[in-house]
Amino acid sequence: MIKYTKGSACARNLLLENGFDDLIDFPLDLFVSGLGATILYKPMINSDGRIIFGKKNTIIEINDGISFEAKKRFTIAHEIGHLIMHKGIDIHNDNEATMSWFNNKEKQAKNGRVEYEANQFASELLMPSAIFYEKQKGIKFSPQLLRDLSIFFKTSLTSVTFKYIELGDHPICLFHSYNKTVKYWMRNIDFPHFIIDKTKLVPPEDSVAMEFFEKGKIYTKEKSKQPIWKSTWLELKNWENDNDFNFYEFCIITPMYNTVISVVWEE
Amino acid sequence: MDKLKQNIDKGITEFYLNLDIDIIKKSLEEDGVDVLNEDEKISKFSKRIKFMNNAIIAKEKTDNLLDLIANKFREAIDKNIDKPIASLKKLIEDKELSVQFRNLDKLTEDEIKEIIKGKNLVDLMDELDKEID
Repeated sequence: MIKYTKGSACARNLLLENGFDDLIDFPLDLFVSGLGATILYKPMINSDGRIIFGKKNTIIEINDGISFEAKKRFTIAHEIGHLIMHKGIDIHNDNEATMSWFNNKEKQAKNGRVEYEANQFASELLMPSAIFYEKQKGIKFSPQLLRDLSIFFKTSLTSVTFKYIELGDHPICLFHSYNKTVKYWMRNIDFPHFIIDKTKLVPPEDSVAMEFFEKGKIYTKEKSKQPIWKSTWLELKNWENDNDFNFYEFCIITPMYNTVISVVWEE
Repeated sequence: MDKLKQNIDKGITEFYLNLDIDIIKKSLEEDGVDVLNEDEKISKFSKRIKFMNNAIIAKEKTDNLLDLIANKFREAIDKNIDKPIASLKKLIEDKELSVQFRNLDKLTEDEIKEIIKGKNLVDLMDELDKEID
């Protein structure tokens, strides 16, 4: 059962109203023109994108220094979210902080509900839930599945992982760490294990995330699924034995920002 | 013989085209066509075409508007008109743009577009839009 939030419902309606199932092969610049705004690519400092509403015209400025197509698409989709849902904001700058899925609650409150809505909107616009659900249905969870979805939807591994938590068949959880500190964790509603809250603490010593922070280790695609103990990230009950579980950790690492997203699941 | 066949084909086509739409749909359903699904596909397709048409027109209009803005400033520089030159200089100073933009005489239209951005650009677009309307 797909549940729509305000942002995702808005994106879904926008697609339906204009006869689109998805925008995978439709140029986002042209989509923005169809909505009455204009995209301009410019060098920008400390900002990935911003929207400027005039009396009649609206401009979406996108940082031309964004090198990843997936990130550029998400930034544009995020600004379209503001265009559709938040008309009237005068000048709006978006950067890593406002477009991050993994801000802690403190930051989220600071950045406001509008950013959360714009992220939900962008996710649905680029990865319509019904199509996403069908694409992953019946396929065994693996890092390769996330990569395949990321290529299909032309979105980042991070946004695909976040969407998978909402809609994926297999229960997974994830931990976002920055500068050797766990910032946030999330889990699929069906994830059956208790997560020890490590927010604001260092990642577990025997985690793959810590291997990156301590030794700079980044596994190749082929070895990116690493076996871990249940007790690495999750609570091991008194009566349980680590040897009886098959847990894995896959890390999405962004060395430029010193962040690691650890995807943890059981097989 | 060919002509006779063509006439029969034409007659059959016209007969179907003049039939009640419900009868045509029923006939298609009997032939195994999922009429509802086809209807939905056609409706989506026409919405998409309409959207794309509007998008292309809007894009052309904005591109022209941006060119017009750059042209106006270029002309103002060439004719040494005080007010636009002063505005441009102020924009360059406010935004602390690089030295390459300091020599107004050598500014290309693309560079002018580069300098005028953000709120200033939207305001100019709104203003020129009014003039065009």
